Amino acid sequence: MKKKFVSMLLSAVLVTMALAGCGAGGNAPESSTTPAAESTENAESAENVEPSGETDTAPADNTQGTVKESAEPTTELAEAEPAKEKYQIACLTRGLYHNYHQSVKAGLDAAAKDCGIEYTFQGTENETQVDKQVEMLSTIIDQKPDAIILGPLDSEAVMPQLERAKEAGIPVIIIDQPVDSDIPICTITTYGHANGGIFMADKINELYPNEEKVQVAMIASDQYSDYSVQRRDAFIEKIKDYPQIELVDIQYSDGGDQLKAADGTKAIIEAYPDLKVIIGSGEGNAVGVLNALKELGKESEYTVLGFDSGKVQLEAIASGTEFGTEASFPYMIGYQGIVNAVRYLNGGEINSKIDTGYYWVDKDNLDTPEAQLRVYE
Amino acid sequence: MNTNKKTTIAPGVLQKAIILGSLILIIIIFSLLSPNFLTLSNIGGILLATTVNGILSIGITYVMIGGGCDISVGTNMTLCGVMMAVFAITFHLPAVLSVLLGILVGTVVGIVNGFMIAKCKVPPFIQTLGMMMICKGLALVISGAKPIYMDDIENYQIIATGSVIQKITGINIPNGIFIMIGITIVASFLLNKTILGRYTFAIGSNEEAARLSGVNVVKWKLIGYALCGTMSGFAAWFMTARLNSAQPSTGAGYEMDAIAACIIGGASMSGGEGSVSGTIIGAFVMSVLINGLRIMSVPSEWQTVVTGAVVIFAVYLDTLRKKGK
Repeated sequence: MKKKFVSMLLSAVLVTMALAGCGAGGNAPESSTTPAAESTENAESAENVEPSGETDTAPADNTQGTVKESAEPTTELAEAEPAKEKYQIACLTRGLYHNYHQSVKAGLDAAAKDCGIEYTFQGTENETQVDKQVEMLSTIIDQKPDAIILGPLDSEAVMPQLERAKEAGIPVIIIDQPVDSDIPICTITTYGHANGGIFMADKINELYPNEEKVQVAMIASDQYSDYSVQRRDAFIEKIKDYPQIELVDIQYSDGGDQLKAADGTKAIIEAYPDLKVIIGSGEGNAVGVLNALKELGKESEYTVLGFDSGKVQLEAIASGTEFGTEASFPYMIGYQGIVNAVRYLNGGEINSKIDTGYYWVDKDNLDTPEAQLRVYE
Repeated sequence: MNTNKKTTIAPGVLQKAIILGSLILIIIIFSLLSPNFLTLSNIGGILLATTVNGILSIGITYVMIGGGCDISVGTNMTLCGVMMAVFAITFHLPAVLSVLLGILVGTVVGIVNGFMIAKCKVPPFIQTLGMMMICKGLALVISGAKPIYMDDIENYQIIATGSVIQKITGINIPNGIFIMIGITIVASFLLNKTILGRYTFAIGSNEEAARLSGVNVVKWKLIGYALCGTMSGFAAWFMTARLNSAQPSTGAGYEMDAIAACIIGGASMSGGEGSVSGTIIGAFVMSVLINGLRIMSVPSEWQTVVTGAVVIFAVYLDTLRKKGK
């Protein structure tokens, strides 16, 4: 019994030490004093976990910068500056594998290089793993980085974690999808995905102003992502101004699965022989639409409008199969994320809302430097 | 053994007739509801949409008949596709060789599954769950999480989406569907006419009895999983051909559709029952359903609900039939 007790005690001490080591990050704790001291600290941080707001401790780091609050997003972009210290910046994005996210990452990489810092990059496997992302965010906060760059999948679900980050004094920069909270110091995104939907309605009206009936179909990623929903709803609202435009069907592709988008497109084409315009709301969907038309041998029979870029879309625009795409600017979103984080940590002033904007790319301007800067392969 | 075979034949035929009847019924209902359903080009679309799921589910049929289960087929397919692209684009190997090597990768994954399950006694669900993650991760690591395009290979897409028949008769039936039918016939032959099939049924019905009667259970189980992996490789071939690229993010979740097709087709989760033809019909039931609901502009949410209900209904029908006997 005694032996057992001793070994239990020993292992308890070991576990506490290991935990303390994790929590304290770089500071290696002195082994003799650790268990007691650290356990009180752990208790404190456990209290802080509760988003009560009672223990509103001031951030320990007082070198942080200021934020220029503004109601309207600015299109003014910050420039890279060298980091004063080796900041640890953690980035958690909305996904990993779509070219879009890879382009965000390319921007992050470039900015990290320009600022002379290192950062960690994580993302969920697809845009439906809301719970997993919350978990990953929680782990990141436990690691106490100097700043967090977050592309939230669900703006509500991350709230408790944002509160935790605030308690811990970690500044959070939001990219891609704004959250309804004043905790993030800065939000960098394509503001107004709704504008993308409105733009598409205007574009179709511009292309077919005098037709009696223009049947339009949309392939969207899913029914819950904000960008997907906002584009869709704004489009539905806007076409009320254009009586000739009729949205016949919307099909979803399980988060931009190209095969599912292609099969959905084919079914719509079969169902509506008079269909004229197909909108692919997002890269995977637009590629699916293009593949479907290719398989049917009907490349030139429909007006394809896309969102974002990617190699397949760019080639289709060049060859005339796709009319054009509303390209967002993921590279700059990533780039601005790191640049603003570093500026803030350096003690500089940053804007609270930065809009990297949509940019219409079609055959006429595809080769211009402006368009080439924004599109990604 | 012989008695075993005799008892499974008659109900098997009846069961297939029921599934086939259901498929025809669904087709009739949709053609009455929508004039755009039973058109040549839509049939072509349905056929092509069935290839990937059809081939994956044939592989799973073997494993399920043998009393196992394989949920790694979806991401195994992803891995095979990525490997094909890597061989063809990065190593500049000839397209045919790349595809063969990619299929071989799938087979190796299957062999590893089979070895761990049959020899090391890891439960099939756990082993293939782990393998599902391994394949997913490897596909991402190897591809750098980016799609690899098959642009450098001329006419790569023809395999799946071109149509030899169109050149001869003018009807656009994609090549892919003939290759799927070919695979179905070969797989069906293996299962019904060879020792592999007979032993697989025997192992699935009663593994202990099979072992006691001298069947090398480890060996034949392993072959079953290896075949399943090979099928993932074939599916990857079609996938990459249809997309003209290897997409490291596409494939996860496909195993569930494939398992659903097997179950609709009469395969039993507890082994010893099932057929390749039933499974293919099951795969068609699923794609016809989805296609028909799409053509009628039924929202995607409801398409999923209906498919789920059909899977349950199919199993219920099957239990009714067994009870009736």
